[in-house]
Amino acid sequence: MSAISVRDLSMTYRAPVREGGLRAAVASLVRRRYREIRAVREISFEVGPGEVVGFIGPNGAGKTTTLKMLSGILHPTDGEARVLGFVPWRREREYLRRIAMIRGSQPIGGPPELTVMDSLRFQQLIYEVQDEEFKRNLSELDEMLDLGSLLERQIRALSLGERMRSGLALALVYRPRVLFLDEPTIGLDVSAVQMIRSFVATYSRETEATVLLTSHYMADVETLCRRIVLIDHGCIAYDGDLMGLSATLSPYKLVRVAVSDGACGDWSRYGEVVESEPGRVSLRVGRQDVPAVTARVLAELSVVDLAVEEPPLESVMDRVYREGVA
Amino acid sequence: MRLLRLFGATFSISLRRQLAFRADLAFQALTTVIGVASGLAALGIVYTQTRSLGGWGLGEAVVLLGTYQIVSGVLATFIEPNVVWFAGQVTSGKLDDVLLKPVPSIFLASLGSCAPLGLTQVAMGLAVVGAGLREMDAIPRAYNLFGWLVMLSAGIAITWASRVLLASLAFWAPAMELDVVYGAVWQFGRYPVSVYPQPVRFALTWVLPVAFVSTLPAQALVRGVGPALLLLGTAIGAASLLVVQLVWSAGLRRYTSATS
Amino acid sequence: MRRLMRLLSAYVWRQFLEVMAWREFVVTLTINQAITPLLGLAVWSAALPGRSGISTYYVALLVVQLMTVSYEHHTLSNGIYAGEFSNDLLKPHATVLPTLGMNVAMRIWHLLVGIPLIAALVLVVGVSLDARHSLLAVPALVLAAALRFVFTYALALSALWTQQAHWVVGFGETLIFLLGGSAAPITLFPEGVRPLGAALPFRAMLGFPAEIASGSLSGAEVLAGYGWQVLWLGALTATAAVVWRSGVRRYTAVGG
Repeated sequence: MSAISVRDLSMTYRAPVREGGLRAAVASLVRRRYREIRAVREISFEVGPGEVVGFIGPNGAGKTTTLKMLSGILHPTDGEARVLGFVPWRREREYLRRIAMIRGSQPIGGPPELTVMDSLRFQQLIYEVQDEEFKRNLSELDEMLDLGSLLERQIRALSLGERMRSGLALALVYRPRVLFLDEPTIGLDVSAVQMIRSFVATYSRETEATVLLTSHYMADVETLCRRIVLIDHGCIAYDGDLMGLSATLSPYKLVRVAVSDGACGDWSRYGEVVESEPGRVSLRVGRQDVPAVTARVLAELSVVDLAVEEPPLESVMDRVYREGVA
Repeated sequence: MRLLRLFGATFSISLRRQLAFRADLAFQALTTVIGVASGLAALGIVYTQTRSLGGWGLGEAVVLLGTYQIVSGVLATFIEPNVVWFAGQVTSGKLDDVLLKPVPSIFLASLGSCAPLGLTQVAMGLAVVGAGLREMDAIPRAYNLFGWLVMLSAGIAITWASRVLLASLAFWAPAMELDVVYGAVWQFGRYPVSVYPQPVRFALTWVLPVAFVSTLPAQALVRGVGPALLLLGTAIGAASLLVVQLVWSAGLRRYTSATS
Repeated sequence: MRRLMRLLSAYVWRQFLEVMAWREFVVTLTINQAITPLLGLAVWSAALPGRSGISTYYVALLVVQLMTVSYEHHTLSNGIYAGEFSNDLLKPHATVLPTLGMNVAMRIWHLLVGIPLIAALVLVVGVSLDARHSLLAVPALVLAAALRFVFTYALALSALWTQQAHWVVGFGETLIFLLGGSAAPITLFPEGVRPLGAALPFRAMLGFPAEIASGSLSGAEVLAGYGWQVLWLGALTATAAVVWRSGVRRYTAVGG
C-alpha cells in the first residue's frame, strides 16, 4: 500500500479582481468579479512507505499548495488524496498525530518566550506521547540534532539554524509517519544545511518515515531524494529518478575536451561553447549528436582528455524554470 | 478532559513565561490597580452629586463595577492574548500551525495561550464586589450568590463567543480589524445599562450583549433574579457557544478552500 | 521658523497620506477615543437629569479629545524599540518633527472621521453653543493640543530607558481621564478637591476648553485657566527637553 496516493488533485482559487479608481471600487461592492487561479491541476502520484521524494518546481508552481492539501490545511476543489489511508482534509485527530509539516521559513510556532523544552513538553501533551516514549525519542533526536544546549533557551533567542533544529525536534518528537518539509534549508548557512540534510537522511532511514520535501536547492534534492516530482504551472512535468530527470528535460549533454597543443581553432563547429580556456573547452551537444561529435573531435584533434557528462542539475532546472518544460 | 489538561498546561507554561519578565509584572499589576482605582474614583465622584444612578445606589454600582472587572480580567487573561489581531494570524499562516495539531482548532486558536497576570484584575474585581456589598451593608443570600455565579458564567460564555465571533470575521473580511472597537464597546459594561438612553440600552442588551457581562449578574447578586431570567441567561450563554462553533467551522471551511 | 513650519507641514502631509492607507483602522481608533466622552455624557445625563450644560460640555469635550489625541507611545516608543529612531536622529532638523507631523496628521484624521458622530450628537442631545464662548475656547484648544503632545511625548521618551513605555503612557492617560474632566467635569468635583483639579495640568489638556465652550466659567476663571495652561506648557516643555537630552545621551552611548 502506498503511504501517499494522489489522484486528479486540483485546487482553484477565486481571487477578486480589483480595478483602480473609485468607480470600480464602488462597483465591486455591488458585484464582484473573480479571476480563477488554477494553482494545482489534476495531479496524480503515489509515494511508497519510507520513500523520500523531492517535490520541485519554480515559485508559484503549486508545490506548497499541494503540501497544504496533503497536510489537511487546504481543501482541494477536486480530486482525491489518501495519506496513510486518511483523507487529509477531514483533519481527523488520528491523522494529524501521524504527520508533521515543517516550514523552513517558519520552523517554530507558538510563543517565542518559551524555552525549547517547554515547547517540547507542550507537543508531548498535544500529541499524547507517553513519557517513556517521549524521553526515548528526545534522546535520539538530541543525538542527531545536538539539542543539548538549546533545550533551556528561549525560542526568541535562537539563531535561524538553531530554530530549524528545534523545529525539527518539535515536529519529530511524536514520531510522525509522514513528513512534509517545505523548503527546510532556506536561509541557513552551509554547516546548518549539511546538518539538516544528513539528519533528514538518517531520520527517514531509521524510522522509515515517508518524506515529501520541497526545495529550491537542487543539492538538497540530490543528496536526499532518489525520486523527483517536478511540478510546473500546477501540473506534474516529470516523475521519476534523479538520473532520468536531466536526460528527459535537457536535450543536451556536456562534452569536456582537453587538447595537448594550444591550437584549437574554431570550436563552434563541434557544438555550442559553454566555457573555454586555452587547451580546454566545454561544449553543449545535442543528445543524439554526441557519438558523432566525439568521434570527430577524437579524429581531428590531439585529445588529452574527453568526458561526456549530464549537464548540472541546477542549470537544467534554471532552464526549465525560465522556459518551461519542453 | 483532555482539553482541561491542555488548558492547565498552557496556563502553567504561560505563568512561568510571564514570571520571567519582572518589570512587566510590576507594571501590569500597577496598571491594573490604577485602572480599578480610577474606575472606582470616577464612580465616587458621580455619587457625590446624586444618590442614584439609573436606579442603582453606590454600593450596587460598585458591585457592578467589580463584576465588570472580573469578566474583563477573564477576557484579558484567557481570550484576548489568542485572538488579538487575528486577521494577521490568518494571513501570516500562523493559523496553519493550529490546523496541523490534533486538537479542536477553535480551542487552540482561542484559548491556546494565556496571560496569567490578568488574573490580578479578577482578584481585584472580587475585592471590589466585596467592597460594594459592604457599602450596601448586605450579606447576599445563597440564592443571590448562586444567581450571580450562573449569570456570570453565562456572561463569560457570551464574552468568549462574541470575541471569537469577531475574530472569525477575519475569514471573510481580513481587512476589517475591529479589535479596537470591541474594546471600546466593552467599556459600556462599566455602568448599569439603565443609564443609557433607550435605543442604546436595547442594543447593549440584545445586539452587543454588554448587559449580560455586568448589569445582569450584578443585578442577580444585589436584588435577586427570577427563574425566568436565570433560564434565559443560561440559554443565551449556551446558544452563543453553539453559534460560535458553527461560525468558526464555516469560516474554517472558507479558509481551507479559498486562501493561498 | 519659516523653514520649521514648511518642514512640519511637509511631514503632516506625508503622514496624512500614509495614514490614508489604513483609514479603516483610524475609524476604529476614533470610535475608541469617542467612548469616554460618550460614557461621561450618558452617566452624567443620568445622574443629573435636566442639568443644563452637561451635554454641551461633553460634546465639546469629544471635539477636544479628538483634536488632542496623542499616540506617541506607538509612534515614538515603537520607533525606538524597532531602531527606526536612529533614522530620525540622522535627519538634519529637529528630531521631534516626524513625530509631531504624525501627531497632527492623526488629529486631523480623527476630527474628519469624527465629524458625522459629532453632528449626530448635536442633533440628538441638543447643544447650546454661543459664538463668544466658542471663540474664547479656540486658543485654549490649541494650548491643550500642544500640552497633551508635550506630555505624551515626554512620557513616550521613557522608551529610551525601559521596555515599558506603553504602561507609562497608559498611566498618564488614566490620569487625564480621571482628572482631566472626562470621568467627571471639574466643575462637578467635590468642593474640597475642585481647586486642585483646576490647577493640575490634566484639565489644561482636556477639560478646560470644553468648560469655556459650554459657558460654565466666569471671566476670572477663564483667565486663571489660561494662566495655568501657559504655566504648564512652559514647565512640561522644559521637562520634556531635559528628558530628551539625557535620553539621547543614553541612547547614543548605549548604541540603541
